[in-house]
This record gives sequence, structure tokens and C-alpha cells, in this order.
Amino acid sequence: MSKELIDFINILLLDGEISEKEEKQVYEKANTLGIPDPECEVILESLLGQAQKKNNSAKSTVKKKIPRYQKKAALNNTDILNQNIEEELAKQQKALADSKSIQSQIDSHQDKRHSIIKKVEDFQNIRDELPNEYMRLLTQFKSKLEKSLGSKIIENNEFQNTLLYKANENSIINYFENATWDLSKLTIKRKIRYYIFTAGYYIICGYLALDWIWFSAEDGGIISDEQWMGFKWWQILIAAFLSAILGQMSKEKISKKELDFNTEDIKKKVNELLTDDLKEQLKLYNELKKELNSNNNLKSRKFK
Amino acid sequence: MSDKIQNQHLEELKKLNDSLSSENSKLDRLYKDFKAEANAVAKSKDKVKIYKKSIEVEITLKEYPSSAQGSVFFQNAMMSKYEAFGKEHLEKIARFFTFLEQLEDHYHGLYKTSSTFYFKDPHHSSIKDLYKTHEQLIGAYKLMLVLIIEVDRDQLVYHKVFNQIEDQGIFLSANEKLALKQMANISDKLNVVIDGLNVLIHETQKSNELLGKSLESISNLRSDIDWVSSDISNLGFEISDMQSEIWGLSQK
Repeated sequence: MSKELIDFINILLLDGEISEKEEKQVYEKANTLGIPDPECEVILESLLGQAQKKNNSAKSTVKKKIPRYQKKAALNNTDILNQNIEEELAKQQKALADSKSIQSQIDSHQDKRHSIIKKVEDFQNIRDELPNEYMRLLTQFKSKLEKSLGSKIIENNEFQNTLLYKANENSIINYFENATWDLSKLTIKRKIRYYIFTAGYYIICGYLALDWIWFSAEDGGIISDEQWMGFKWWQILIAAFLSAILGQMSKEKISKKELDFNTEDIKKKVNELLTDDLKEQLKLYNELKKELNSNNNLKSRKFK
Repeated sequence: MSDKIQNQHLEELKKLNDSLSSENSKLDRLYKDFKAEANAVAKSKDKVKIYKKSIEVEITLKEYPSSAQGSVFFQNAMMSKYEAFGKEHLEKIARFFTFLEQLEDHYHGLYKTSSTFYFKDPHHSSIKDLYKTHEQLIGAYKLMLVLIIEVDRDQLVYHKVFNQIEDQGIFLSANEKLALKQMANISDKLNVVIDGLNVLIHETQKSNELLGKSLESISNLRSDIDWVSSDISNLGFEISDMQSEIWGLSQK
């Protein structure tokens, strides 16, 4: 019991003194511990004596320090902060109410949008058939052009890729001008021309030769003054020479693989074949395709 | 398909596309508005969090004293015990005092900065530092209290504490202490000492009820104590008085 009292007094004596107030507390502490006042007084005086003895030298030379208390900043912003919180909560409530209203509008517009998309789905058959219709028109046009130019275009996928849904006057002309024409197909027409000219040359030359061999005063002949089919011998000879030259020219063109039409010819033919009706039809297909594509984009639009 | 039908389809498709485009535009705008509202709510929530944090910090700052005066109290308390320490130990403890005073100055600076910034920025670095310094001061005060009380009582406890502080190099010379830069390192070392001595302090608390109460009161240091006294002679009148003395109160 007294040990606790001694500890208590020792703590109080850390500064070497006991004030009246502290003394009173010591007696109160002693009472609570059941130590009688006289005994408490003896302990107190004894410990005080020891402490004073120890302190004498120090106390005489060293002054006690006094704490310098700093003024505390006024920390009274809680009300303002609470008010700010209330304002923010009110803002949040308003924003949430607005969000709900917006959400319902979104739902309504989404419904409308879905009904439109459903109607658009009815155009699926057009979407499926349109490429075929389009290609049919273009193929017909191509065939007509090839026929009129007496040649054929070497087939490749570019025809479809380049012109499908892009066919207007310029793109068509551009495509056929730049297309690769098949020279082997071209020669058929020219070969005929060559054979005709060459045959004509040989026929005439042969006749002249025969006429020369069997020349007699009685029979006459083309070299004679007598006319053959209304032509004089020298006229027939010139025709034979011309046929030979033209035949030879055709032959040379074939061997050199030269076309006998140029880009201007193609342009001219395309313009001839590209009628207003065809243009309109192509335009319609283009627009349909454009709308279908646009519809695809509109349908697949994602909202975040 | 005839051209006429195709033309009809085209017209119909155009109309549908126009409607769809219009609906898309409306939805775009609505989603944008919705997002803006959601952002506003999120921002507002963040603001509320900051305001709440500011209130929390203000409460803590109110509880904390604006300046720490423990070193003054301990210096006065040591006066009667100079002889018990011996010259060598006293020199080293004097260095610990210097460190304590620096820590107290640092604390005061942090308190001032925190008091200025907490309203707008409750996450300001000074606030975190203030909490940390507060803890360190409490730890340092505990060590100092044990040293002063046990120097002429339980020598074993006294030396254990002293040696631990010495081992961590906290008794550095003035040249070695480069103000705050060094202080951070010393503070870290102080934490090591406090952690290492926790068991010892706990045992001391158990064996010495009064010291225990003193240590406990230091642990719960708050400035909102009713009874305030600047008179060192009143020290120890009540445990709460000691708290006031150690910390000093700005209200005074």
C-alpha cells in the first residue's frame, strides 16, 4: 500500500517540490489506500527532505523553464464544411433525378429506334438481289462494248470490284480504257480481213498469170486491150497490188499484236452505249446501295 | 424489279434512314447528358469525401495541441536528478533533448501548415507528416519519462532504454544532425527504439501503476483537458495535469 503512495509522491516530486494542492492530493490518495494521515505525513516529509537535499545545488543555479504556449489557429470550419456537404448532396439528388428523366427518354427513343430497324429489315431481299441486278446490267453493257470493238477484255475480278456500286459515266469509261484487251480474240476479225485481201491478191495475180500464159490474139486476155469485167488490165493490176499491201498490213499488225482501236475509240463507244436509261438505272442502284449501307451504319451504331 | 418499285423502295429507305439518323442523334445527345449527370454526381461525391475528410482532420487538429512543450517539462523535471544521470549520460541525453526540441519545432510547423491547408486539401502531405510526428513525439516522451523516472529507481529498465536509444544512434553530435533531413532518419530510428521497447514499457506499466498511468496518459495526449496549469510545481497533481504540462495548451 505504502509503495504505491511512495511512487505517487515520487512522481509529484519530479520537479523537487510539493505544492499545497499536491499535498492535499497526497493525503486524499493515502486515505483511499487506507494509510493513516500521520503515517502519510512521515512518508511525505521523508521523501520531500530527500528531494530537497538533491535539489539544493541544482535549484540554486538553474532556473526552471516556462513553456511558451502557442496560440492555436481558429479551427471552426465544420459548419461551413457541413453546409458544403448539404449543398453537394442536394446537387447529387438533383443530378440523380435528372438522370432518371434522361433514362426514361433514352428508353422511349430506343423503342422508336428498334421499330424503325425492324421496318428496315423488310428490305433484306433488296439487299440480297441488288448486287445481281447491278452486275447483270454491267455485264450486258460490257458484252455490247466488246462486240462493237471486236475484242474482249481479259476477265478478272476487277470488273466486279471496280464497278459494282461505283458505276457512273466516268468510272465506266475509265475502267474500259484501262482494261486489258485480249489480242488473240481481236485477230479473228482482222484475220478475215487479211485473208480476204490476200485471197483477192492471189486470185487477181493468178488470173493475170493465166491470162498471160494463154494469151492469144483470138482469146484476148486482160493484158490485151480487151476489158475484163469492165476493168482494163492495168486497173486490175493496181487492185491486186492494193489487196496485197492491205493484206500484208493486216498480217503485220497481227504479228506485232497491235490494237486497231485506241482509248478515244473506247470512250466514244462507251458514250454511245451508255444510254440515259442505263445511267438512271445505275444511279438508282447506287443510291439504293448507298442508303442500305448508310442504314447498316445507323443500325450498328453503339451508344455509350 | 421494276424501276418504279425500286424508286419507291429508295424513297422509303431514305425516309427510314432519316428517322433512324434523327433517333440516333437524339440518343447521342441523351447519352451525353446522362454521362454529364453521372460525372456531376461522381464529382460531387468526391467533393463530399473531401469535405468529410476535412471535418475529420479538423476534429483531429482540434484535439492536437498547436505546439509541443514536453521538452520544457522534462528539462524542469530533470533538474532534481542531474546527479543521478552522471556526466556522460547527461551529455547524451542533452543531445536527445536537442532532437526532441527539433521534433517539437517540426511538429509546430506542420501544425501551422496543416491548419492552413486542411480546408481545401485534407490530403495535404503536411497532415500525414503531422500525424506521424505526433506519434513520434509521444514515443519520445515515453522514453524520456521512463529515463527520468527510472534513473534513480529501476536502473535495469533505465539502462535498457538508454542503451537502445544509444544503439540506434539517436544520441548524435550536433554536426551529425543536419536538421530536418537528418531528422527523418533519426525519427525512423526512434520508431525502431519505441517498437523494440514496447514490451519493456508495457511491463514497466504493469509493475509501476503510477508510471503506467503516466505513460498511458501520454499515449492519449489530447489538448481538450479542462484543468490547465503552466506551473511546473503543480506537476503530478493529477495525471491529466501532466498531460497539459507536457503538451501545453493553446487555449491558455
